[in-house]
Amino acid sequence: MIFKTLALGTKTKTGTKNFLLTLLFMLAGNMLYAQTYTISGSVTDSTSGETLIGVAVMDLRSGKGALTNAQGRFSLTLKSDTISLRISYVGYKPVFETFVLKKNEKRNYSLQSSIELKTVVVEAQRVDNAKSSQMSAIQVPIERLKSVPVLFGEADLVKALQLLPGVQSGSEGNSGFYVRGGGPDENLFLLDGVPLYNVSHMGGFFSAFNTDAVKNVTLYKGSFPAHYGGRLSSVLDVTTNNGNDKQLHGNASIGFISAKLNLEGPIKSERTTFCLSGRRTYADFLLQPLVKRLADRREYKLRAGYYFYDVNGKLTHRFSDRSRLFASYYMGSDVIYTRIRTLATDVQEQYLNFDTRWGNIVASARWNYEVTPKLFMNITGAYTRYSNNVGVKYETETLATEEQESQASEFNMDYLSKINDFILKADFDFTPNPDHLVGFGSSFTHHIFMPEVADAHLNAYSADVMNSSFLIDTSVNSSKIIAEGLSAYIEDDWSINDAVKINYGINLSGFAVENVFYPTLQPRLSGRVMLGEGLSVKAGYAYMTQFMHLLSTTSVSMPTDLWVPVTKNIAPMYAHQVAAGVFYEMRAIADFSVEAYYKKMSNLLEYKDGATFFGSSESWEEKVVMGDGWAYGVELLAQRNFGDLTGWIGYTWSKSMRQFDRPGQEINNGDPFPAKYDRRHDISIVLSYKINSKIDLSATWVFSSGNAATLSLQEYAQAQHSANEYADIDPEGWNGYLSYSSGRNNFRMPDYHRMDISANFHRQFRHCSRTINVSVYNLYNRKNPYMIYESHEHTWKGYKGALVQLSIFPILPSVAYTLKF
Amino acid sequence: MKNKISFILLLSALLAMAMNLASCEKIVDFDIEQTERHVVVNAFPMCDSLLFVNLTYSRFFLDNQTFLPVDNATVSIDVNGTTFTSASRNGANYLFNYTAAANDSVSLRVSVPGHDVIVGGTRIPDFPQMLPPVAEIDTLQPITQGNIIFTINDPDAENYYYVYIMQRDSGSRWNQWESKWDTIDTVRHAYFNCLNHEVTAPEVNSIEGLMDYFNALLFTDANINAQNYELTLSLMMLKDTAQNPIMHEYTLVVESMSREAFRYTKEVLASQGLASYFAEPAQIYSNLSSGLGIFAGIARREYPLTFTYKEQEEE
Repeated sequence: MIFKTLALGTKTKTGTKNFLLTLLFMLAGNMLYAQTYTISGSVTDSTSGETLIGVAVMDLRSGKGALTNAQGRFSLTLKSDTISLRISYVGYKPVFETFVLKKNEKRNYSLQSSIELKTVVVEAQRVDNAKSSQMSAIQVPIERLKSVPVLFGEADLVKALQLLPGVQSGSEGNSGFYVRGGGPDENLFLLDGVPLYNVSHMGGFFSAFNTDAVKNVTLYKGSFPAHYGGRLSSVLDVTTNNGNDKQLHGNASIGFISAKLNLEGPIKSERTTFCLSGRRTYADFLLQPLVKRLADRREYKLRAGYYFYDVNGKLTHRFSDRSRLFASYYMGSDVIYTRIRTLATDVQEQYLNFDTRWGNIVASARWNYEVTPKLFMNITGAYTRYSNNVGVKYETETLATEEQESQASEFNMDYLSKINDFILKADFDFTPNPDHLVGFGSSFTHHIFMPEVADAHLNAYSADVMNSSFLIDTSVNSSKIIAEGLSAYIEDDWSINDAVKINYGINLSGFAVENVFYPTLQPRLSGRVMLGEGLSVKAGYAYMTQFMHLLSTTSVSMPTDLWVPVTKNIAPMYAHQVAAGVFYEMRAIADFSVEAYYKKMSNLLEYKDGATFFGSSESWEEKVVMGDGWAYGVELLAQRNFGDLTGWIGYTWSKSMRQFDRPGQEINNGDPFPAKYDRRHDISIVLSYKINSKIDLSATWVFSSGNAATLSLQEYAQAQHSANEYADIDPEGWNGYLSYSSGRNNFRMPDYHRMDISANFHRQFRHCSRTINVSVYNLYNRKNPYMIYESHEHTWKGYKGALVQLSIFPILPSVAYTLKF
Repeated sequence: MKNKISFILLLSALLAMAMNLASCEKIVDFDIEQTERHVVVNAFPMCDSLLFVNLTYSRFFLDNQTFLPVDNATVSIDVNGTTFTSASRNGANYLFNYTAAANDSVSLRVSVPGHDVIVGGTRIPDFPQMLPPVAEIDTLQPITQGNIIFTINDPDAENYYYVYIMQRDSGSRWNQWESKWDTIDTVRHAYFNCLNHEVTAPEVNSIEGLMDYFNALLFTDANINAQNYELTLSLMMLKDTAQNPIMHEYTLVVESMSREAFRYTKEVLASQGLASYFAEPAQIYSNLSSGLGIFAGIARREYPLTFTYKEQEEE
């Protein structure tokens, strides 16, 4: 009909008039048919004014809904009609509102915490896991993570996440993160959207995230949305608090090893808020008198200690309801120091200083703007730095005597590794209608890598020979690698109908380094099909690429671990992951899920056999080899997020293998071998029970199969370069013997299990409240393996050899006191 | 003040208790299979020397045993198509009536009851082509700086080299000169360190793959193939040590190696370095089909070092 009218219209004026009238009529009809309006706004906590992420905003009449984004904003486009909105979030009383939608609406909501209400709001605390198109993603309320029993009374976000299926810890007490068979460097840790390279304190016993400063945590283990990229195995997206916009609040706590202070509030008006958190360990202060007492002599003085600290700061300014500016800052560092002063003779003093420092700095500014009710924009500029520095300084001073003139010398040696990233990115959320949520954006990162620099500096002075001095100043392996990372993405969360929803997208990334450009096109897809009330099946696929590696020689997060980029010789890592699962929400009982995955990884990097960061003039590129890996497993999770009894039970069956068989790059003779943290079974049970408003209890029990380790259980004679055929063997091996292991990770440590408990005692005062946390780590004092080593003991009674297991944490009670005001 | 002291004492006691509890150790069991012995073949067939093969058993690391010789093996070699069976045995050494020659292609077969047959093969390299070294001391100080300078004429082929210095005092047993002061009668006499070396070759400032391990240089001719190049090793020495070659003898050893010998030696030396304490335990390379050890050809030149003084020459 249209084509006919068009054809006629080209011939006569009357025809043209008819065509235009017909077109206008059709457009008007179409507009009337699709008359829609958009409700947009934000959702905040009624007490603090803090924006809430992931709040469900749903029209109960049409069943259409939206979730608030990372800035607490939502956009919901609905047909003009009577709307019955429900705004609900875990731990908050839901808000209901009914109105007639006749125009675009701007609506902001404040939710009241159920803790504040002192009631249990069952319906509001449900999380629609089964309905989301996203799989392999877990959003755990920060309060839940804080309630998990902890080591030394120090709540730790990463260690709590290790209790989820598919996430493994490294060794005992370690905050290392191993997701679905991936390595520790394959996790992207985002702090307010900016990568954080080192997330460990104290060799990995604690993570760099101060829970007081954290608002929201989401972990993706697979089926990654297209806006994430750069790592193979997981994304941990951490958002920090904006700060209370009503009045000044804060909390101070002191635990077994650290003290913390958190302050937040408005500056002048509600438009500007701040949040400032700090944490520092204090064992070095307390032990100083002991060290002094034990070590100090007239001719010898020792000062030594270790501490870590971190500071989080955030400033938020609201220009208008549509425009906000966020400025965040994080600085965290670990420091080990030793100062030794020795009086060698009456006239000569020697000073030896040993300092090791490692840590991150992250600074970012983000402008969040509502371009239209359907389009949100985020512009971010950020800087992130990770550096470690091992420094040794040796000084001698000799005073002038009758026999000789004064002399002095100073020797400095520094080992430095550093990454500086400058990031600029733009992200957009576009909601054309309730069935689509489109995200798109791009980013640019300027990387400056200095993987390893060793500096030596010697300065000697003698008054003997014409005041002569002697100077050496040199650097070894001082290589700076500059690289540019580019990324663009587009994704859509599309509700095809009530039963089917998919999230599809593509991430286009590239990395330019040493005149080489590595482009990648990474498709992402995940979807769910509702099979019934609360029952769904989901499946997903993700292709991920990683342009940097962490060279690590031990299971413990050490400052000697090197972050290195891909180069013209080292290709990017990539992984394909497929996953599928079934999700079921059993009303008023719990949520259940079963997920299976298979992941194939390529271009993984390892040190060559026998190579380490240490003791060779070779550069790091010459010390590493590339290989492949694969992992598969099944994860079961039953979780209850509402009621007095909450928690989860998780079980993981998994296998993770590695193979380095490329010519000249063989490890384990090119045969496959288990990955370092390949474990067959992991079980975790996490339970919290609220007795009343004053007391709550929690307990965890974890079990995991033994970790793999490489042990050399045989010794054999070393070949001698001897031409003498009458030289007999060297029976004792004095001329050298070698160790033989049947393969990489050929030994299994004993199984690991442990129970922790904790109790929180709350008390409300007139202007403040206090919480005393009493926790016991490793309740039944299980001697869990930390490492296995070979022991050889020669005594007058004879020789005794044994394989010895070292356990580091026995039963450890701890107390923490928190004052909230 | 009293409270403060009490607090510190209490805290110290708590920490001490925690540290004490923390050092929990216990003995771990192991599978009996892991205690089974392996046959170990060790042989560097050397150019212009009678060929022999050393056979021992490995030992479980907790057993305080010696390395026991294998005394019931059947050992044969095939040289350029001709098979030889071991003629005699001296302890763990199985001897052959055959003197290895450059470019011989040698394969080995070892059969030990209760173990899989072990086979391996190698090529005997030619002697390193080089000029005799010059060893000189050039200062008047009692502790003197010195150099050992020698030139290698690298043939146009894939070659591997191993350079080290042997030393002995007063007719005692030869030992490899380690990276430290030789101490004789509590007097420090000489210091040698391969870390301080220089390479001089046309258009080349360094040798690819040159490694210094325990005072030995191990390198390939990857970027100096078919060139003449000069190596300078530096040392420190007491004047009287250099002047008394009978009391203090030093010998420069230069070996050309087969590829198998190079890889084995490199991995052995690397495994003994300080860095190995931070690394995963690694299996040392073996070119034997189902056993441990090495069967790899080498060719060796030895040059006794006579130190000369520059100042003497000037006088």
